[in-house]
Amino acid sequence: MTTSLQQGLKRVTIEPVTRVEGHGKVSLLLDENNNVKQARLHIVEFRGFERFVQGRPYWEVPVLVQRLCGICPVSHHLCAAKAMDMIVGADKLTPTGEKMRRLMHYGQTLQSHALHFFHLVSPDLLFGFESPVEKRHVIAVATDPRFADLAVQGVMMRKYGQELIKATAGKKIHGTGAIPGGINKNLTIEERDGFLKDLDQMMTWAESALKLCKDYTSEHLEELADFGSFPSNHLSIVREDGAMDLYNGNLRAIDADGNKIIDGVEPKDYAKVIQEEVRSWSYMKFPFLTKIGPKDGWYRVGPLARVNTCDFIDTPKAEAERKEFMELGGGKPVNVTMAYHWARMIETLHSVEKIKELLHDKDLQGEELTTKGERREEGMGILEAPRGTLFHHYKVNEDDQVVMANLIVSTTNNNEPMNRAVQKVAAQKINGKPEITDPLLNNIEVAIRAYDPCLSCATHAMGRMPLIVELFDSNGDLMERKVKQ
Amino acid sequence: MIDRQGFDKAKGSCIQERSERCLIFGYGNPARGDDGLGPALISQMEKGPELQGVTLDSNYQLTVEDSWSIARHDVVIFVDADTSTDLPFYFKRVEPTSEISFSSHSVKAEVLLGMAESLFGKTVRGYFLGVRGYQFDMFKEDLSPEASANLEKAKDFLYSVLKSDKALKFDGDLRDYATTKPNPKEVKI
Repeated sequence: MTTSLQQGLKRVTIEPVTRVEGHGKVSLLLDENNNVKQARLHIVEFRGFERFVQGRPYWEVPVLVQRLCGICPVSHHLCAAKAMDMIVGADKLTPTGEKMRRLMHYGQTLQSHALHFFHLVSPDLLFGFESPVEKRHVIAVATDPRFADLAVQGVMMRKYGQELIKATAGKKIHGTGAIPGGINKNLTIEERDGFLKDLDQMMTWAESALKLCKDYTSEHLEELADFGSFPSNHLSIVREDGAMDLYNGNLRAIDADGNKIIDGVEPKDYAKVIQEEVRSWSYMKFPFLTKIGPKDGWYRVGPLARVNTCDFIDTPKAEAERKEFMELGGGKPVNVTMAYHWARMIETLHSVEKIKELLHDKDLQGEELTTKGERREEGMGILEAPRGTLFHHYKVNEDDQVVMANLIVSTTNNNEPMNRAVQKVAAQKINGKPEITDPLLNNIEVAIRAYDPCLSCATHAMGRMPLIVELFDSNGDLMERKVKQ
Repeated sequence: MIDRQGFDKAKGSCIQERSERCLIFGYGNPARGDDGLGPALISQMEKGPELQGVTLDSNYQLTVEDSWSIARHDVVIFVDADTSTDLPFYFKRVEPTSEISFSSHSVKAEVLLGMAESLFGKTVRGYFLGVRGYQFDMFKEDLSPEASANLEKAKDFLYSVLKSDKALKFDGDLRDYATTKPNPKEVKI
């Protein structure tokens, strides 16, 4: 759809963005010469959850938050539990509590990354960004004799991760495993042995998927280097010794050259270093580093950021892969957007290695599941969800009721970078020709998909998938709004 | 080459699953009011009489790994909330497809049937039980009274189908079914 606007500008709206979660809308504002003046990715984000939990007992929150999002409930479950650890004064969990939670988290990361790569990304890499539409689908991958096993591997790895979640969280929907101060079950010997039996297969598949991704990026580096890419800051948590740690650590942010902007910031102090900006045209906020300000303080999160910010990875296979990956940046952080996939596969391998390490740890069969200390009225939890850094912040009153909740989710952290990626790709493709071609659509999708965004609205009933269309003039004023049911 | 049908044959595998004749899969988000109709039906059936040869499962959404579970069964009945009908519920066949665009965590039932075929070589007969819901907009854990009433009707219908074993046979078919007055006798082969 092309609409004429004021001041000789034209707005092109593209929707929905397929093969990313939920529904998004992209609007491109063209100038008089039909070049892209502005690109905006619109994502419907429900904020009602923060009010929903108010008044509820704090110990219910780790279970309740799973209903926030049907896509990454485990990340919210664990992050809320970490915040509630602070409330109950559990500053250091028991070994069994900590390791069971980590097993749950690595299982979640494994299944999420495997799903994204095998089922969403592999058609792009194997058949090309601009391949015919009938090819850009996982079933096309599955039915191509050259790649027939890939889709099955993806399903099996996803299944393995889901079974880990079930064994640690209690069940795959509304899991109750993580509770304030620890965990409510350990891992039985029978459960452990079942996971060990398939572990070598998972390792082999993780390594082959990583190789596929690495080889593809290396072979196509010339065209990928500039695809939706730009210098940026990167943010994640890292362990105290600088190691990658997806479950626990302090905040570190680096600039595009690798200089540290913040480091060693404990979760309880997150609000001192990060703020959220509201923009009139977007449902999602735009987080930024306070120290730099809203204009240039935005940052990327997720696999690319995590591999860039850490000093090393504490598992041997993933560390060897990290070193090779970092050569891409020539001693500086990698800012190639499409390298997200390569980094994601390094994390997949790391997750399998960590799962192996944990399964051989007898602490998983320990009996001491919880701990507690001095009661507090405020708690913050931060972890690295598959898509990036996730923040949960709660305040409770003396009656144990939640009185304040604030969440910053991974996709929100990547809001500005995704908009920039869309702008860059669209500008290159449109380049004076004001039409929405299949290559334009495909390239925009590919750029957004690199971030693995979760655009879920968590309500998906058939016949009720509203698509919201909004038209703004060049001043940012709303001209028209349509809701398509 | 992966043994697609026998990956879980090794004794003790963590992803081993029993093969049953029928899978009933309810999906939706229980914290979004009537969106939770699918899981609510499964929850109620889990508390009901044991059903021979039937697997009950639920989740927020349909996801790609469900194609593996589906391929372990001969028949699958998907249960979800629906706003597109004025009927309390309806029941219809769904056919496998390889639709070109889907969201990984919100796969359509038809696509999962297609994946069961193309990935695991198993043709599964699929049905969809759509139950009318009304309230979806806010975080709310309870079903609306109207949706609860529809759920009871849909559940009665489903039990009647399962007891008659008609949905589990391969030499017949349930025709598309929709009624404002659900009556098991109206289901015909």
